[in-house]
Amino acid sequence: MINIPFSLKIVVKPLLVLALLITVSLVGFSRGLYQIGSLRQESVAANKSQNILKSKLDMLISNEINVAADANYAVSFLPGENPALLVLYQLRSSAASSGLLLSNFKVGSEMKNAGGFMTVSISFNVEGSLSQILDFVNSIKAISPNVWIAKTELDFTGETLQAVIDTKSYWSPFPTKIPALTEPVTSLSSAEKEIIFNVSSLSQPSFVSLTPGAPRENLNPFGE
Amino acid sequence: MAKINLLPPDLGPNASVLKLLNLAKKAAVVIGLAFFIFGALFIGCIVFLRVQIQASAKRAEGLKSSITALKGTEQTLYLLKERTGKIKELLAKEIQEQPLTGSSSILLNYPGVTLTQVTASLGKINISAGSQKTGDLNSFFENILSDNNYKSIKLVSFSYNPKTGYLFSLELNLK
Repeated sequence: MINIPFSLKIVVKPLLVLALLITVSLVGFSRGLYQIGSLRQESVAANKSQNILKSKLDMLISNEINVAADANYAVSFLPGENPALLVLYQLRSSAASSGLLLSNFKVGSEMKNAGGFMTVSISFNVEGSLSQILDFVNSIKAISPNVWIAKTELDFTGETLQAVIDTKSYWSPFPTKIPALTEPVTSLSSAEKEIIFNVSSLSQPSFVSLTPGAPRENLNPFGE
Repeated sequence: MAKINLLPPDLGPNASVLKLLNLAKKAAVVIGLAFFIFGALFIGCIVFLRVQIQASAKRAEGLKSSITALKGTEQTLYLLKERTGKIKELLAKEIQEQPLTGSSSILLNYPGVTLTQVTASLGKINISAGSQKTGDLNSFFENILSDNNYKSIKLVSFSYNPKTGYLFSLELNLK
């Protein structure tokens, strides 16, 4: 049997206990620090998310009244579908106010452009005096949906001045996805507000919508 | 009372071992105390942070439900921003000024000059016209030359016939 000195015998046990205590303390300390660090990160993230949601809610509340009308103006200027019919209506109205009559309308096929834009070409003939036609050409930029004159041919050889005007109009399909609920939404910038102001001052197409009438009783079903 | 030790002195621990044991005892007390103090602090901190996170999550849920109630506004606002971005792109792409509008003064004031055909396309106007008198022709050309709207003016054709007078065509490139 190994003979362990008495001094060593009485030292080993307390030192082992001390080492164990130190180890447990260090492990506990590091675990605690790690736990607090991760909770702190979680708390910061939760606060950030809460702030984003709060600012988003404030922004939505402040824009709630105007946003629908502004969106209507913007969508009217750049629709999500082929605006050929609206453009025809607007061109006819604009020509009528200049005392002109449009004829020989031709609507081209849809074409895809760069930047996600689609375009449709519309050409037509117009007869009248030069000043009337110039007035009409000038008035085109003040209508909504967007219309751009690609080419104008004026023929002075006949009895009356004949013009063939080629125009084009753009549209772009609507977005199909909206950002996640927690994504921040920025308010309208001054440049965007200016664009909305400009398109809202354009002549808007107006249609008369007929609401269906209520069913009425036919008192004499066999009469005329 | 005097201390009585009946054991032989060489059997007892020596002074350095006793000192070491004493030191170990003190260290154990300090470490134990620190363990309990820091442990309590850590637990307090963890509980506080958990409560804070839970409260934050609860507030976020409330805000989310309020935002969901305004979903229509959010969608409209998103569409509005998307449209204004596209309109900005479109306005940068297309030239708003119609070539004919800028040249109306030339087309409308042409005494003695008969226009036969005018074609205006992107940045360019082609004019075909005729005149009986050289003086009228001169004033027409002078009028065009003094106009600052044009980058270049090209006389594409020019002819004279005693019956029809002067016939010419111009190509005006806009600035």
